[in-house]
Amino acid sequence: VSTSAAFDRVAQRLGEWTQLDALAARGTARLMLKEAGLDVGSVTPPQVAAAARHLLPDALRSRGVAEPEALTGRICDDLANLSDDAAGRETPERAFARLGS
Amino acid sequence: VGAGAHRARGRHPGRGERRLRRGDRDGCARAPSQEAVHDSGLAIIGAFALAFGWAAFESGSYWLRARKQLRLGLIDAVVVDRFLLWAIASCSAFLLGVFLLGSHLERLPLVGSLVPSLAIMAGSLVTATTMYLAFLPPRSYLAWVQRRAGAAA
Repeated sequence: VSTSAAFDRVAQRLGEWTQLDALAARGTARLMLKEAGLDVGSVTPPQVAAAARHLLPDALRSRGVAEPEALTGRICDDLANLSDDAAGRETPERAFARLGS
Repeated sequence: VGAGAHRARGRHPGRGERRLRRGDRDGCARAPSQEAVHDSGLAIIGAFALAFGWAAFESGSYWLRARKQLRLGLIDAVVVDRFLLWAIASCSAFLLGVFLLGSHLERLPLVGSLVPSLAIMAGSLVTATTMYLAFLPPRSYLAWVQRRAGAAA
């Protein structure tokens, strides 16, 4: 399954900035997005950042990562610099948002 | 010449007449049997039910995911509601297709019978209502959806 650039970036940063190995970092990011109802293949940087703000601190805390809030803030700042590779792509959400308008 | 031609046509059929007779014969030979018509009906209704079943499953799973996104403020409540409306409409059409498939398999008459007519009416009514709310939602309905989402948040 292909993954979006936003998912890859979060997983990469979790691997670099925490003691989690690459597999655990990707798993953490994947579980976070699943809990947020987002698809790893089409998720955008703003969506990942919003999900991370709400869900990542608890996920990191449960894995014994120190200062999860600060780390989440760093990850969200990093995501802000990432270009949205899904911009302009048609999604069911966008199609349904146009209904009735 | 005219009399000769008339006499000839009396003995031998003309071109148009031959075509008509051939058409009748071929038409009888090509007429589909009742079994073939029945099987075609099964295939058509089966495809109908399958398509709407798939649509119901997909839109239902999107609705479940969209509900999670709504809790985080990642999606508009109206869009989440449209996923649900689409799932209900597709599910209703799917159930109608399954009912029609069963009736077709049992060779029950659909026209002039109370139960099939009521089932078709109910399925169509649900589908039409949900499609109306998805495509042409009244402002009061949209406001109710937003209020409900706000209360749940």
